Amino acid sequence: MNDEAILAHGGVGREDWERKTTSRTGAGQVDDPYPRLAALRADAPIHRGSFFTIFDVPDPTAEVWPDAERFATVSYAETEQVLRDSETFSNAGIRKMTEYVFGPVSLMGADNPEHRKFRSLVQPAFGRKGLEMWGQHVRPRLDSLIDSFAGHGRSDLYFDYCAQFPVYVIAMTLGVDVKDLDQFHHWAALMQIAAAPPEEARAARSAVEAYMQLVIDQRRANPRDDLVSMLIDREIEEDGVNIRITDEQILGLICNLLPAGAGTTYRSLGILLVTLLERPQLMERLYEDRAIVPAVVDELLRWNGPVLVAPPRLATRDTQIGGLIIPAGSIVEPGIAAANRDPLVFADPERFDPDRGAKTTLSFSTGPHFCAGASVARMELVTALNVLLDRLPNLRFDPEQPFPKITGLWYRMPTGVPVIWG
Amino acid sequence: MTNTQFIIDKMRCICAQNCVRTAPSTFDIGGDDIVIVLPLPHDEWRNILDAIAACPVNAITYCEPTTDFQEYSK
Repeated sequence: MNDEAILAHGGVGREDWERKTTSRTGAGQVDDPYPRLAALRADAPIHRGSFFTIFDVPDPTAEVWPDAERFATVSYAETEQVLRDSETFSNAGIRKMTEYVFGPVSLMGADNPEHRKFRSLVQPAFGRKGLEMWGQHVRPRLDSLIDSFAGHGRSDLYFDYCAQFPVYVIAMTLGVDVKDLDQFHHWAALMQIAAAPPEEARAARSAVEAYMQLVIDQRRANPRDDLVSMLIDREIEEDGVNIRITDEQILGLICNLLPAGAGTTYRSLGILLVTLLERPQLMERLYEDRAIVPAVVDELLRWNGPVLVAPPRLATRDTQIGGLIIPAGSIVEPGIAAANRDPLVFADPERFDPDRGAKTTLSFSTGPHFCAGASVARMELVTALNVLLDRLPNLRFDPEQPFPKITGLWYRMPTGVPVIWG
Repeated sequence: MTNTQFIIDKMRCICAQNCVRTAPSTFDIGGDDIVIVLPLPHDEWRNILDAIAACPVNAITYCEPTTDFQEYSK
């Protein structure tokens, strides 16, 4: 299928779509970055260059910072230092690079106090009560997906299952009509950071904004139990005065949410399934003991997460990390995946071991920009694995299909999850 | 809350829940989605220290039992 055909088709989670939107960030060019990361870490905690140049992959962000010195952290301590010290390592550096996706309101591209102001607006959606708002859409969707292919006896779970539910859950929580799901899914794909050319991403954002403006208007008239209804009544403090949130701000927050939660969760699930299917004994154990599912999910996110790098930071002053002088104006990439395999923090770090009782990892970052949706993502991953184990006994790789591999640099994903069961 | 050895800075807490996952018998999420300290914290000390360190925004302070609470409550 060529690009036009994908657009016409909607391209929901199909392989072509996946390749198109991820090849710019290293998919198909780097499969296993970890041996190289371990060698780099053994050498020094921070290195010159971006992860793209370090791995010899064309850098889709090069034009954003043409003159900046680039650095990449690979150890836990130094990565954590960069993520926690948001005064020295500002998020403002990515505002320009992400503007076409996020628009004028940027949680990821703002520092406190502006960041905190907008974050506190969406925070209640991710607390304990907020979790139910998302959760109500998860299990029914997963069950109906399995119903749709259970009779076939084989499936590529990455495209038939993993890719078909996180965007659905976001869409339903936003109040998107189910008949527009394919269209919405396609926009979400184009709005992932650095995944599509800027003009395509910008067009997708405009389309989402136009669509969601209609939903906002409807919810103002008739509120429901959804995210837009929750947001329309909230107030923002401006110069000491509380004023009601504007439509532009609501649209901005929605456009922040979509790229953050669309691809990350389903890629994690795909990587998780490939990892488990490669370990039949662990699969057997999972069928018998569901209590270990959350630990399996957390260990997967440490060991081989969907994002190699947290959003790059801009050094606001001359500083030093790991003995290297970082001049003001430099761009520093926090290497969270490399940090999560730092032997100074994790014993035998290259081993996938759900029983390690892992300490907190940097999978969801840390500092003020800690992933707002972490609890939703965990809930979705735990539920999706449990539903598979409930419904499909004796899951194993399809021997008639090529063995999948995990690929990608900035974003990581499996090439597929072909399975049979029973 | 005056007896607690832990102070939660409500202005900082972002409900990341790292502490709840690391030391679930010590920390929980309150009704307003801000972390609370449970009445009888009884996680292993090692896990409680990990939980404090794991807070992305340093919202948890441990007060030495011998220290005057007032000093930390400002």
